Amino acid sequence: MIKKVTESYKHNSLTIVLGPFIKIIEAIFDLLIPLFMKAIIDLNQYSDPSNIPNKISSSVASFIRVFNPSGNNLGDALMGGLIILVMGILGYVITMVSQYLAACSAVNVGTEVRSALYTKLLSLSKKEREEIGPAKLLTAINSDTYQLQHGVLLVTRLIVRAPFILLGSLIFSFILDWRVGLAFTAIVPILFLVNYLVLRKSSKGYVEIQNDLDDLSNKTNETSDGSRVIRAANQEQYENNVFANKTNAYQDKAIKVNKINSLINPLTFAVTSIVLIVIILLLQKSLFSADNTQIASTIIAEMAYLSQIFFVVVQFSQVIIEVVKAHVSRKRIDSVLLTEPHIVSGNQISSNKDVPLIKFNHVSFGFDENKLFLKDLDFQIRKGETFGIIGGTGSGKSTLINLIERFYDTNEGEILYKGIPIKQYDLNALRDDIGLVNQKSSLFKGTIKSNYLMSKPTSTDEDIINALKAAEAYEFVSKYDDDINHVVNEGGTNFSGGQRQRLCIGRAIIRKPELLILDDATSALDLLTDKRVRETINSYKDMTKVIVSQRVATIQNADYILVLEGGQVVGQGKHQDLLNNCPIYKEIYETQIRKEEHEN
Amino acid sequence: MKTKERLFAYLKCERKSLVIAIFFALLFVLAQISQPFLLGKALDASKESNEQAFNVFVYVALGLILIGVICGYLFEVIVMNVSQRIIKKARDEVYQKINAISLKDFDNKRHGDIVLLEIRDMENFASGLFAIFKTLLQGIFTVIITIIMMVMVNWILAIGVIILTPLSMIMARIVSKFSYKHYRKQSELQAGLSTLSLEALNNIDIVQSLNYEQQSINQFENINKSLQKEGRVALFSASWVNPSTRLVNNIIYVIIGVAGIIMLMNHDALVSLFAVMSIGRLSSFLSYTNQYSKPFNEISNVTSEYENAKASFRRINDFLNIDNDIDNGNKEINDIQTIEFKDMSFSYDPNRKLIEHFNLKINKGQKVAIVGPTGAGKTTLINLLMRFYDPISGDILINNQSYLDIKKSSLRNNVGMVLQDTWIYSGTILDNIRYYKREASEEEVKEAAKKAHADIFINNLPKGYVTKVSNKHGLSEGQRQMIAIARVMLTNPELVILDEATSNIDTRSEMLINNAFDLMMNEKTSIIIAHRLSTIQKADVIIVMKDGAIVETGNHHELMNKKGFYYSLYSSQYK
Repeated sequence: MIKKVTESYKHNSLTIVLGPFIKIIEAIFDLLIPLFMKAIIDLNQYSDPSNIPNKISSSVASFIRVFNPSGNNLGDALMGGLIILVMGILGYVITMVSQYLAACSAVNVGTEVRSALYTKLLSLSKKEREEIGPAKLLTAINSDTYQLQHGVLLVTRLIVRAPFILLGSLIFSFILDWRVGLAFTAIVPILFLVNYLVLRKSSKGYVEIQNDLDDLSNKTNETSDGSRVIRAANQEQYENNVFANKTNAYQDKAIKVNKINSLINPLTFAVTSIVLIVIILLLQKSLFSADNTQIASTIIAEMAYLSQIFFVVVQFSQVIIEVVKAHVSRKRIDSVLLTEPHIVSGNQISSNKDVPLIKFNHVSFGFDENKLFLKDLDFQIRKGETFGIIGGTGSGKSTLINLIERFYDTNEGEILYKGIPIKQYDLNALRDDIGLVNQKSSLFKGTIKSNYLMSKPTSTDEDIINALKAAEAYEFVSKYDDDINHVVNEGGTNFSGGQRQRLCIGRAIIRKPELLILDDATSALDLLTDKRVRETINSYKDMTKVIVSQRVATIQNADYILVLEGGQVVGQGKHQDLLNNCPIYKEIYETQIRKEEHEN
Repeated sequence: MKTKERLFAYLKCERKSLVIAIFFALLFVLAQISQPFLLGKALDASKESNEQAFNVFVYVALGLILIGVICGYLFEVIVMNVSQRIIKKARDEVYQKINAISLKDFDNKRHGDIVLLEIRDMENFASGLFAIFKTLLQGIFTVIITIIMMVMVNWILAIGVIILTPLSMIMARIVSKFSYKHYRKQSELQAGLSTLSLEALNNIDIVQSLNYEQQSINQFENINKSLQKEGRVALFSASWVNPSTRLVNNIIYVIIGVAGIIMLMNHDALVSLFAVMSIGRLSSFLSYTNQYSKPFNEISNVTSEYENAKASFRRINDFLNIDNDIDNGNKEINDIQTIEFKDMSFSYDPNRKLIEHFNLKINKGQKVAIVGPTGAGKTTLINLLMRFYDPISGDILINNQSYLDIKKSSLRNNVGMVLQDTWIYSGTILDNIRYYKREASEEEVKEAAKKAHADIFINNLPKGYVTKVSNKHGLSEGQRQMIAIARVMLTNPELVILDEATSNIDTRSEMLINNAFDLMMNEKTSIIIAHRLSTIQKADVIIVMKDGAIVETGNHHELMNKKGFYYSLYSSQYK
């Protein structure tokens, strides 16, 4: 896997270098065509190549005569035209080859970088992902790689050709007439500057427009989500006015940017036309002299060079903007690729059954090292027991689970898994032992079956049905015509919250994990179903169960209960003991189960 | 309204600007196209050593450049302004439509589609309008005037150019059609990758905990490989358009050039055909050859934009054609004494019955709770009571009159509603809380927030009450619910509806909020839907619903003694 974008350039260096250089041949043809046109006209006037005053035109004319030895005028014109046509077609073929090479280079780089990014994404731990930010990771994969690809494409297509044509056109225009050459040389920087200024100004404007557009999009989305509240509050007219103000602002900006953009066409017209007039005025004296035709044919050739110069300058400025964007994308991609996951797998495995499955030894943890969030956790989870964790939102329950899964590493103290420090334990083996059901009840696009196969690739349909039954999910799955092959939409949106939770529980159970973790995984189940699921799970005697919940009812029958508050353990023990000696537990219990009930 | 009618209606408002734009376009094109003609004339004048004529042609050309630049600029600016104004109008209309149609029509739409309508479709429409105005107006003028000029310069060559030029258009057409096909495939694959990576990132804990990384990478790489193949073809074929049209144009250029030179040689014979040839004429003619093909290429370039714009505008038009919600009520109410559901039936889907012959009377001062499993129709009752939907048969009587006769705004003014899905709009906490009552002072807002138990967390936010929040960012589910509750606390309404309003708030805060509600709603009416049965035990009446009908009614003790459905729901909570 590549570690930097430039490595991918190296892998594709052949096409990246070859493509642009082949194009030089085509560029040479492009530069020669106006000269041939002039030579044909000159031959018509002077009849013999040696009579043509302009040296270069004279030698081109001799070249045409090689193919037209008879030397008649009609033959000159037809043969000259034929040579130009042949050059044009050859140039076309070469262009095609080089375009193909450019497309290959660009797409290959994009593909390789994209794969590398995805692999990196999956290898990063929670901490790095949060540091980089999920939005940036997704942008890197789904937008930056395309921008990079586009940049590579443009560069391989034009990096050599554009300067070559520019320089060649200038040189030929000098050879044809030095005064015109000077005028062209003077105009090139002006053209670049004007182009650059206009593009810079307008691309800045486009960023602002894009922001405004995002704003409109957010507002529309927000209004759609709030349709009921807006109607209930009778705020329709108010919202309409807010939106109209936003579209006004957008319109003003769009018009402002356009005032700059609209300069491009008329200015292009002005510059080219004025330069032509300048050429004619420069050559005025020669025009009125004897070799008028020679000068007129020069003007026709110079016009052709001017339009090539012009084309290249415009193209080049646009390319530069794209390349700058690609460069920014490349830097973003590199910053992701260079991130090293700080959680690395250990190499030890243990099957020791005499030690606690998990032991927290004075563990502290914080997202920021200076601000510890979990403080001095010290407890153990024995094999086969049901271990309950309770606490309000923000008490640290899920973070504790993240430590067991080794999504994070501890800052202080250590966690022993089967007697071995978790940092030295083989990460794949550890995670293979665990069946996790988290709060999000994540389901993947596909079918119910494919989701279960993710968890245990070897499972049969029967295994899947059994797991579904254990999770109280088969009752609704069996109602589908396609049973376990029923489709799962992205995010599982075709199931209700409670159905999703049950499907996820089944997916964890099918692994027959040594350690089953239910992190607030039954919150959307009605109480009867919740109870039945818990009863089934409790019947797996070999399985260690860690159940996290806000509901007392869910954990009160656990073998051991940990009460968390503000990242600290404020009580541990059995339900009855906690009621007697943990005031916070008692308070939670009482708000959920009313006092009168308790007194009865 | 048909799409054409709507488009003409928009254009009609911009009549004046459009006429001016056409005028400027004509001047711009004339100035542009007269250049080669004038310079050709100047060249010929120099050949005849006519210095005076030479100067006249050159300076007229210079003057026309100036006029052309100004007219060209004004033309583009006007055309852009016109399309922007039309878009703004259409955008505002769509937005107003969102707020004006009935929720029945609205709930059928996906929010994403509506956003696409406002953003992508509008942008397509705008660029389509602009492209059509600009390219078409300018293109048509250019073609017509160039043809006239060419015929004036040399009619034989003119015919040649007119016959040959469509070639490059056909070429461009063929190539872009081919590459379009691959581009579509490419973007499908790109969407596939984007979905996959989004899914992986959203569920990465599970992916990593299942040790599923390698398989997921394989999936990604499979799509990525297909994308590589398609992408190569798509990029390659797209890169044919320019060289191919350039090739064809070059061929035409050479043919015309050579033909011109041959005519130059036989110049005397041509005089009798009225097709004079001179070096100046040849030079202007070659310029026209280049110029003539340009608008064709440009027009063929914008055909896809035009197609997009057409499709987008059709969608916009369809949305705007949805009927506005009608409100036949005209009575005002300001005091709710009784609410009576009378033999009311309703369903979202005619094939699936939901609420059938529902009867319920609520008196002022009552606290009514509705419980029951999901899908029982609890939230639907709220939809009906708020007149988000209208009943299919039956009625709701408020103070003994049909609520269909009451103005919707008046009905809703009397109700404070907190829904399960809370809604926060982008703005400060302060503005969010006073959404129902904009004129409320900061003091009042703080008072309401205290009652909703939101005061503590708000004060802990970086900027307190002026912290900016939005529907997607900044607040946890429980905090959002507290804001929504504070909104209602601020308005002090006649009737409060709480639909799972505290489901994400911890049980201790919930109790305090409920106490505050009880105090505020003393002597007033409240309707509460809740999963947590502890929330509603104090209610005067508990309505137990199942499958769209009431199965039990009574207060907590009565229902417990009945040992029915409520009892089984309740007792499962504590085992």
